[in-house]
Amino acid sequence: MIHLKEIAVTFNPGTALEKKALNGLDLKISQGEFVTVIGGNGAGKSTLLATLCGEVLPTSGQVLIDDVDVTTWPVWKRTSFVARVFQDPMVGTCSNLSIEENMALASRRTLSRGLAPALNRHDKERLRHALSRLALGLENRLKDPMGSLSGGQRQAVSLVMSALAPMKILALDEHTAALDPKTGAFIMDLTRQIIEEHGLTALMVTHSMTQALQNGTRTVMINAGRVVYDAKGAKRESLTSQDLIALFHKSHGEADLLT
Amino acid sequence: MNIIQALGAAELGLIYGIVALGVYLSFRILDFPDLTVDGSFPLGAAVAAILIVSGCNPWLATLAALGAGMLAGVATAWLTLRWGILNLLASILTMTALYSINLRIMGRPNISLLGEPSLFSFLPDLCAHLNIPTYVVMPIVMALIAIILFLMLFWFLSTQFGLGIRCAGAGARMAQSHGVCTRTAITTGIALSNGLVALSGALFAQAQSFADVSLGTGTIIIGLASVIIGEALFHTRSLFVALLSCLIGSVVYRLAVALALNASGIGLVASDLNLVTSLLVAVAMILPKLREKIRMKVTS
Repeated sequence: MIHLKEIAVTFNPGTALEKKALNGLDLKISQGEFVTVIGGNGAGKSTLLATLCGEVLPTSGQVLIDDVDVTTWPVWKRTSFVARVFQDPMVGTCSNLSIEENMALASRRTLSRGLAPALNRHDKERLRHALSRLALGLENRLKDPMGSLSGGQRQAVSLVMSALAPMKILALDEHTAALDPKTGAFIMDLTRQIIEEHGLTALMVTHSMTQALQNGTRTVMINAGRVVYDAKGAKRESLTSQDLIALFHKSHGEADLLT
Repeated sequence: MNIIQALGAAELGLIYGIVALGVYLSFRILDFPDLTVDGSFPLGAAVAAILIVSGCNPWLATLAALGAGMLAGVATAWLTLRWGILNLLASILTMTALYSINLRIMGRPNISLLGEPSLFSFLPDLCAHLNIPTYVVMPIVMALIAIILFLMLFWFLSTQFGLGIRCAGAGARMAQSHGVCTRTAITTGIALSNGLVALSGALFAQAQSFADVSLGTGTIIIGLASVIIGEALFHTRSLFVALLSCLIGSVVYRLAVALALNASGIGLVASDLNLVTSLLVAVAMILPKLREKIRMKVTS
């Protein structure tokens, strides 16, 4: 289970630029849940994800993963629990390295890196097999540099890469936002498949209300650094994106009155 | 240029080819403009020289030079990664400090190794026995050393750990998100880079029978020139070919320099070397941008 406990994050504290990005946010995610997170610009969605991944250290509060306190763990150490797909496929994959090298790197996310060859024949077979599911023909281009692929192809590969090693939670950071609608839909389908296949726990940040409701098992709305709405099961089933937009405006109104 | 001069240039090219391997590792693989090499090259020469004149085994002296160079690299990496000092500035700090350190190590500005034992002490006897002149065998021995080091570097960068280093240089966020401790990876890479450069300095001192505190001036530019010439000769995505092209680029560079200096009529003298090399690197870096500009003008 993942528990973000009373998380507060303040950027540039004590200066004119002080910003409370998260303000006592509390979120528990059970094993196997697929949580979609929505909220306006500056609501704290990205900071929430960055806190989970370790890029941002909370000012106060705790990050617990399976009862292990990982609050102060650096990003690279936390990857034994958290797999991540970035919004920008250029960040999530390495242009200069070949497809197989990118994947070989990802496949050791939870393992130590020693002086054994990064790629042996057995690995290559496994990587080829993992890529073939995409049906993009990439399994025959293992030696091509990642930089020769399109953004959508790279995002598809980074999804496959994230699932090469075990994890406690998959963190998806608006990972279809930089893609055209058709490619975005393809990536979203792929995401669902991978999550279902491996029975993953996932947290997906998105700007699209529709995407937030169509995918996952639970939807959380964030505003002013707090969870303002949380729906799952039957309550979520009956929800429409119109309802969400209404809720969104309501919580915004309240926040505006407060500030 | 006669054959002795050409072979001498090739030998020097192979020694500096090891520098080029180090520079390729820092500049190209880690994207870390590391000027420490201007200090770690004479550091390697100084450490090897002082140990040899003190009676130390040349193999041990060379190994110690490698270790000293790696320490210099760790210092630069630490300043950058731990304290957030701009990498270029951190490397200049280490380089500047090394000038004093090298003088301290040697105790004087230069040390002659004439008549002292070296890694190459066995050569004169061997050459006399085989009846081949030393100036032919020396480049061959140096080529063997350079190729062994090149293969070792290639092997290392192809391991799981080495792949982590290559990724840390190309995309730190991506590397971290896949569990690579980028600080360890970059520190190791910079240490290795400077270790290679210092090793090259130790080989230089033993091959040329002297160490001098001012040996290092321009080492980075020579290394960079070799890398750029290698890249121009072999447009490649293969790491193996890219590393090999550093060695070849360095030899080509030395041969070109020897040719230029020996050609009568151009009027170049040895002290023009740094100017010519800097111009070469500058032109090589300007050319792609010019080409881009011209192409944009043509298309618009």
